[in-house]
Amino acid sequence: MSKFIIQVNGSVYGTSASFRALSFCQHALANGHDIITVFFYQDGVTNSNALTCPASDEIDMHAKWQAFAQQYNITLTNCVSAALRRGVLSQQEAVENGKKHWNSDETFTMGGLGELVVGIEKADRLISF
Amino acid sequence: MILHHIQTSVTTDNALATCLRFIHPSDSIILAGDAVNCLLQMLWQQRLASVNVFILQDDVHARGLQQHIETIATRMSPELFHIIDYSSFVEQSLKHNKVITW
Amino acid sequence: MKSVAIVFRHAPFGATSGREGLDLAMLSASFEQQVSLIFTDEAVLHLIGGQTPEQAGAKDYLSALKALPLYDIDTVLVCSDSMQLLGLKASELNIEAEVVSADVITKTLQAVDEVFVF
Repeated sequence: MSKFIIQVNGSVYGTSASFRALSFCQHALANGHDIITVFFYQDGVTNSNALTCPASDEIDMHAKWQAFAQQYNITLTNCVSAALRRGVLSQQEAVENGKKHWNSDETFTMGGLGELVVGIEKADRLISF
Repeated sequence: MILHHIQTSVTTDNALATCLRFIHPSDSIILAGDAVNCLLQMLWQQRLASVNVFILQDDVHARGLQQHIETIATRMSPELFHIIDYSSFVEQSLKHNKVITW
Repeated sequence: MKSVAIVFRHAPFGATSGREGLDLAMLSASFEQQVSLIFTDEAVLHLIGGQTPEQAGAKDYLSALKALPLYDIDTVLVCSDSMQLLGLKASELNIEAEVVSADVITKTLQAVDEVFVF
């Protein structure tokens, strides 16, 4: 059994990188491995946007990540600076930045790049999508 | 022994070309997403002929390229050309010393 | 402590990957990781002098490159093939960097624990 850290740079909609990252995570668990955290960086932070509303016949990557995290108790971590730059805010960031609205739900934790660096120290393998 | 992970089309991104400039003979490449399309071009079949290549099966099937890739496989060295599923992708990422996503 | 190589392969300003890669480089270094930077393809353009990022609507993240020694990031490799392709000379580089052949970069990628590409 090995420990993975997964980095997602692909956005919630527009490329298929986020979809492949999730498939990889599901198969890693199915093969008996552990996932320390899934770290969202660059455009990947948009995966935490709870306001995505694709049509019912389209894939909803936000919902898929949320369901995955809840089912397997996996930590999903957003890089907070990358998120703020892209208008992805949790309630706390909205308050701190004087914004009336927020869109990142609590399934995704706002963290720093330091969590990625520390995660790499603990993981057997890093893989980015 | 590195697994080089390519996700983008060679017509929009030079990820694969850059990777091939820095690849070591003991390394492998996994083609995923639009990167699988490069195999349709003779030029890229030739450039990849001497490299250990994995191709993500789901992305080949999704694009309806199964028969094309199977035909191309007959021209490639069977020891170096592998169509794999996600489960094998996971295991290959561990068999190699690291994964570089270009 | 792990050794980390951060590869930059995209041109400055057209995408934000350079800026976000540099953030990761400096953060990793401040967490006591051993960080090497590698510039290849059009990303070598990050290193020439006289740039005004604000005119392209970008933050002036290039000035942070000057601070790399303060973060103990001493290994900065630049792909000589890319320099040649773009007609650039080593004397045009604005920071301390080594212009190296592809095989030196290959060896570096093999040697480090993890590699990030931006």
